[in-house]
Amino acid sequence: MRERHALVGSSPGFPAQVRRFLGADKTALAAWLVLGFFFVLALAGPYIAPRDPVESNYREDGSLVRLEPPSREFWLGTTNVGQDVLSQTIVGARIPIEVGLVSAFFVVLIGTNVGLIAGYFGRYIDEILMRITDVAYGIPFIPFAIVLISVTGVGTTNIMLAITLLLWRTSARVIRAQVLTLKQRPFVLAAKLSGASDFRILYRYIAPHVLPLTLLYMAFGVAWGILAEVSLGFVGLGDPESISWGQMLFYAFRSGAIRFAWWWTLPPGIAIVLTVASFYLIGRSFEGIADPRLRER
Amino acid sequence: MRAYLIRRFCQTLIVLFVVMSLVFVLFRLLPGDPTAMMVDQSLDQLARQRLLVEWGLDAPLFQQYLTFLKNIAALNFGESFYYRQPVWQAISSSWWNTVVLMGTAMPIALAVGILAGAYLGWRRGSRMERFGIVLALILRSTPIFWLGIIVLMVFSYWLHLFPTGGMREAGSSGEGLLSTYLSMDFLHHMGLPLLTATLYFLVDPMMIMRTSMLEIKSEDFLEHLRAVGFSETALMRHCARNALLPVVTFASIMVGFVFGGQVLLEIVFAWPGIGREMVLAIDRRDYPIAQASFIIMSCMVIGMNFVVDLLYSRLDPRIRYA
Repeated sequence: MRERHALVGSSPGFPAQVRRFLGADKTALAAWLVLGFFFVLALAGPYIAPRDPVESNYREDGSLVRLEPPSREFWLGTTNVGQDVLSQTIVGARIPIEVGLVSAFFVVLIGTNVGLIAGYFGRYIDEILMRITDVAYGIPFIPFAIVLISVTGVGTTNIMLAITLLLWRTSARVIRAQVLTLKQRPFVLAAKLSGASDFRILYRYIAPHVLPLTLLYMAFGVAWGILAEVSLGFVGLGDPESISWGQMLFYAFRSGAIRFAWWWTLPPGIAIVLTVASFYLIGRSFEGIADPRLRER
Repeated sequence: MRAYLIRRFCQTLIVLFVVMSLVFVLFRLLPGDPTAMMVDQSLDQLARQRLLVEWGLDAPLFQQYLTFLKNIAALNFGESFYYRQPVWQAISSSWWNTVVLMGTAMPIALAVGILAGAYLGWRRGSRMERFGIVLALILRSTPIFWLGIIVLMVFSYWLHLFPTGGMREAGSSGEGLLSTYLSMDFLHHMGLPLLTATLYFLVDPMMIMRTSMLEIKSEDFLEHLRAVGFSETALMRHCARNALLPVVTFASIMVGFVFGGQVLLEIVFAWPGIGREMVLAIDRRDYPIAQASFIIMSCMVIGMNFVVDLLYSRLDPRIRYA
């Protein structure tokens, strides 16, 4: 008992661990800060935006402020119908981030469970689940999403559905491989011998060991989800009632403004790159926790 | 080996069959009359009825499903509403255009990615490595269509070095395979899409190669070779050869997402490939073309996955063909 106590005492408390982690990984800290910024935009965008993002702006003489380069009045210029690019970029943060977070949650939920069950039970259950995974790998994602959304109708929910239906495949394979090795470890045998049910072994003893991997794929999943959402928006399948970064680029491309209107194409693109990169960096820092060997590198 | 091959082949067939069945269901859910899939809605009642009977669309669904599978096996995808000709005839050239573009971009991306990754892994801790990693992170976070837009803005609209899209100058048309794909005009048009695709697809092989190099670098055989007196470049080569395996595994996954990115790339550069054709067809409600394009893309992904699997088992003798 005393020994155990000593062990517990020797490991630093949780706040200290967090502090050490944040201090050790400066890039992850930077990523969290960038994300914090975009989360604020996603949550409070309409209140922060200086103008109504869909309203056309007119000059005093009544002419449309069309494709105007950045000025003191319009910091990031205007679109071909006189909308404020800055306001659109701010308000457009919500949908990609929301789609990324929600679909990543479901992607990882399905992927982790498929991986756990396939890896643990093996035999024909494994065979069936892995063949289903193969099927998911056999379908090209963007074409599938385009067709599915044409079937179900344009909208944010359907974009999330398309992402969830296919992208669980990666985490399922990776987590299954991990479970296959975990299953051989003595603690699983010990649990089995002491009469624990399969369910208990799987979710109580094995699942915590794959949690870091799950978190890693959660972070990657958000990154993929955002990229998928903006891609579908760019094809013109976003919700026409709302604004997102992908749709901004769709309109910029379709109107031919990409010829010269860098103020219209750069802001949404840079916002996408920063958000997605932050999620990748955070995923990488989870990876450092999951696999201590990587910390040295 | 033989048994493994056969088993893998059967699994591939099953996957193919399931995917085709999903396609059958998916395309019959498209908006409009379920026969909208196969019979042009703009035809008059009598002509429609005749076609419905001719193509067996008045038969029960299960019967139709069997006909569907039989037709796919025979590469008979029906008739395009828009082009008014058999689907395969209408899209075979777009298929070739996609294959030419991606078939060039992928080997280049793999080769450059592997070399760069080997170098980065070997020169761990150098400024070069740092730069490579940051570049990789940025490229991995960039949507491919936006990368394409930026490349277009810089090289085409700003520097006027390349055409803005399409595959050849307006007015000129390719006669035969050789003159289509081997003219300067074609290569000039392919420059930017190729650059974008290569940049986009080389990141993953590069990063995987780098990680794999780091793992192999600490192995004893390299110390041994170093003691024997191998030069640094020779050591790097030996290390790289052993580090290649995970890249091959990854290649199979890469094939899958190449056929997603390529759709967006074709839209940005107005490249008349099969992905762009599919998007246009859905817009035009030309469902036979859309369905055929989707089937062809899936078949390519599944087929490539199979090929990569075989390649992998040949490369790594440790895999047991159980």
